[in-house]
Amino acid sequence: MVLAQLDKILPDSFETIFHSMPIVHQWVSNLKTTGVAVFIQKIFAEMEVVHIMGLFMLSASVILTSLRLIGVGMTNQSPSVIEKNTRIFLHIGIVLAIGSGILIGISNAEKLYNSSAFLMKMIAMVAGIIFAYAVMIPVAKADGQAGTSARPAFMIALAIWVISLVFFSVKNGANTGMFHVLSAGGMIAFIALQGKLRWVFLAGVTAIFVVWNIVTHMIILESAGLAYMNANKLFMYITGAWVLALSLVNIYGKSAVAGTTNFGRMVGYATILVWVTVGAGGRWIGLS
Amino acid sequence: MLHQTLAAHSVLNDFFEWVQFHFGEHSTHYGRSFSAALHEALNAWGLLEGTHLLTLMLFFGTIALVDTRLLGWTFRKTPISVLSEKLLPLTVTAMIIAMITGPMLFFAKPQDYYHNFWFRLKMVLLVVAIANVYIFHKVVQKNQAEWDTAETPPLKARLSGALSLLSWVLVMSCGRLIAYNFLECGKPHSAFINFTQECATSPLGAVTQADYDKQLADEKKAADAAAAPPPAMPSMPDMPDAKTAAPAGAVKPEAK
Repeated sequence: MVLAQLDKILPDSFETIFHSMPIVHQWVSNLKTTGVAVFIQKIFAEMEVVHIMGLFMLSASVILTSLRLIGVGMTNQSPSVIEKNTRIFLHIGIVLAIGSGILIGISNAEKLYNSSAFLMKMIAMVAGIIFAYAVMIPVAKADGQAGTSARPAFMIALAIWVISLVFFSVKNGANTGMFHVLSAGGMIAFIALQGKLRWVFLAGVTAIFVVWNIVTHMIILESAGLAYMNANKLFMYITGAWVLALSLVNIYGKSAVAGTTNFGRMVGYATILVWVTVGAGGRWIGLS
Repeated sequence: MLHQTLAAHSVLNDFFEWVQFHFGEHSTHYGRSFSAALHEALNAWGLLEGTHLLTLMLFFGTIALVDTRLLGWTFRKTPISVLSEKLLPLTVTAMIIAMITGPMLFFAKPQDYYHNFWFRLKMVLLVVAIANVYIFHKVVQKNQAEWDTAETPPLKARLSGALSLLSWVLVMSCGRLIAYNFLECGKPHSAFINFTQECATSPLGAVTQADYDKQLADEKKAADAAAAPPPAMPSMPDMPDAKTAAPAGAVKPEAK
């Protein structure tokens, strides 16, 4: 499979990228002995709480504004009103999440330096910030219309996000986190799709899950090792393709809610999912 | 004695111990309990935890907006009832998923969580948050029509919003702290912490700071005793050294 080959081509972590520069590794190793790192290690759990709360706060703005761009949620308000009222959550959330993230990173630098999930999270976070500030906010302010800068910013952010998704999909130990992105995409599509399409989507997801479980619990068992892993990955890609297909039908189809546009809906889907990617990547740093 | 387990007995501890280590042990691979099978499954635990966390993003996001509206900070031009009505389906969806994934996470390690201070505090705060929702609907909302469109709602509504926001922030914070073991039973803690997480009935036992200090002192005393030079032997007559000593049985030549 092409994506399996990508696993060998793509760097595993920042360590792989800077492998030829031992001075970088040395600097990262020394970070844990700095005064800041020693202090943060004492309040590591508390810093994690601040980090999570930051992520929760920014998600309040991202989810509600983006859902409105898709045509779901607070449909009695225009996207610009929602964006204006939730913008403060985004600002505070970003400051808390990134500020605490830097401090956590300093105290835990070597682990992160060698983590595939962390590399993926950083790539996704760059995309997330561009999506939030250069795409979602301008598009919401214009009530779904694309401004002159929003489209190129969207293309750049989308390209960066796709890179992070490729990383997430192919790196063993972290790729299970893709489930979160798929399930979040599925949830949005289920809520946003109208009429029969919603149930067609649900039937498709259910069928995939039933076959997936039959194959991985009765035919190819966990003891099969690589074959079992590949079977799981194959079904992950099939689920992803199904969610993407129906999401595109939702994005390019007719919306029941006035004031939404194709571009606005695409921005809505992408902005939520890129931040889910960031969150899932963060969780998988600890799990992988 | 360190790690002492008091004679105290907890029915719940015994029940959760049975669930964690024995429930279903004859029905799973390798004789693991259902809890162990869930916890040790290739990806199930991580997926559950991740789903729980990500769902809370949606839950907290929608709750926070309603609470900040009650406080008069956001959506000041929008009637509170309209905001609640639109956000409620999202909140409920998130809550249902969290209420499925949360107990499943608990099921994976019930005895560990039962003796976890942060888990217990989270449950108490959850009750406070839910009681606040109940009081809001039964008391605060009674005359909502009078202040539904007010940019700054009355004090009781603002108080309810503040309590809700605070309690949910604390619930989420405790949830994150559950993962850390610095208050784990078996480590030296104050009597209050040992009491609140029933360490005495946990497998790791209750250890007070005094126990711990005494154990350290005993260990130091033992180490000092081991490192001290052995007591001086009674003085012995000079012995010949090995090189000059005659082999055993050899006849010492007589001096001429």
